[in-house]
Amino acid sequence: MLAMLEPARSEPLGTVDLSEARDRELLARLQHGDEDAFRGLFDRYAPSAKALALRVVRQAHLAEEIVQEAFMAVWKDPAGYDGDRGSVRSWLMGTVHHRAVDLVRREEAHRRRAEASIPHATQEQADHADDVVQAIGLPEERRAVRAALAELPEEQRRVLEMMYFDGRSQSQIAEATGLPLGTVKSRTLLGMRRMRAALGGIER
Amino acid sequence: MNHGSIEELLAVRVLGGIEGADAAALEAEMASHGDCEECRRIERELADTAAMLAFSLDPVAVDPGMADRILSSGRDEAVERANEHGPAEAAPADAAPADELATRRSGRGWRTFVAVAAAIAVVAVVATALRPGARTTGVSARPAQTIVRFDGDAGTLSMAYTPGEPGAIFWGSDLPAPGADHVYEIWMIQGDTPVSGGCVAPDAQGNLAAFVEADIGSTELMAVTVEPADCPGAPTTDPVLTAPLDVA
Repeated sequence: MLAMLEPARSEPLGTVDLSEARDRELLARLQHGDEDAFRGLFDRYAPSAKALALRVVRQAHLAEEIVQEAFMAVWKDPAGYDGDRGSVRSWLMGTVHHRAVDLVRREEAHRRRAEASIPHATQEQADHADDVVQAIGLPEERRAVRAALAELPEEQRRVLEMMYFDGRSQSQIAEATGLPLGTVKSRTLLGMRRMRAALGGIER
Repeated sequence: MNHGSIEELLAVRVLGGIEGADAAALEAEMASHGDCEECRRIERELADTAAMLAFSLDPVAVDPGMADRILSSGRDEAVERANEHGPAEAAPADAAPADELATRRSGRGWRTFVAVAAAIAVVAVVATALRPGARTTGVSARPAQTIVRFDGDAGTLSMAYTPGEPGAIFWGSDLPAPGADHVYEIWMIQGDTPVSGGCVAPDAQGNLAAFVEADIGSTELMAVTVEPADCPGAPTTDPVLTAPLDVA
């Protein structure tokens, strides 16, 4: 009788739990060619995807191409997502990041030129300041991630940023910083562990 | 190589920094671990953490026409894919024998069930509220974010919703096929009245993910029945899954 009186089991649900549930639902609909589902994912993640691509390649037209290619791949092959390997958002961002880094590596010469003219690259981003979509995206998560990054020891944050945002390889970072390769790897791991601990249930 | 070493190399890989011998060593080691749940967990967590870094950046607007270009260029493939998978809400053609649920289809006990279950839900909420130190179980500490699991013997089904706002997300697994030309219909029991929240069908593996534009409102009880594919406006069978909700 007591069991009958037990109400539905409920538990707090994080914002991103809901987001992930919605993402997976959209992805399931994508399998059926649902264009609204695609637009749902696109509207939600394309602006952040472009920000990431732009940060890595530093050229707006290339960033635009990367985002288009990545979402084209999602639209044409949503079955490429493997839930065992992470969330939908990590799949999307991983796809974009991989393409951006790949482009940077393939066009290393262009990369060096861009680095040699950092003010130009910065200016290009600044030129697109009007396009920054403050209202879109996930401000709560953004604040949390920025705070977590800010809390990292400088040496760990630097390695993470060089690797993820600048698209540099482990050996390139070792060369640029003068650190042994093993130290680059260990700092990467420590930084990622700290980020994960700081973000807790936010990441998904 | 132990999991610690794998984790170190995976951390570099998810950030895009791995290369050469390390990449090959990681691949070989993970392959040697075979079906390694710990490896997958490590990779999943690191991948999710890496992806979060992207959200530290301010989003940047994309070309407004990009989505249309993508959709139009990939439309043929999407149509082909949709044909392979069938309509999103159609019952799978290879549905399992429907008689596994047949005993619940009589509908004779529906009204009795509604009355009893609604009463149970109310009593349960009151009992919970009166229990010293009891957590309010139907509404989370943050009322805007609540998840409810259904009870029943037809697989597992959960619902996430925001009290006071329309829309609910449903996801489930191990759901028996509802049978040829049948679907699952979601009901919101408000007072003595079942209000349809729409019809859904699991895929061939029994998995379900659906967003229903339903207004949970003052619903005291959620229920799921097996119904004909035309999604009737009133239940014709007894519920196979139920979830009482706390009423604020």
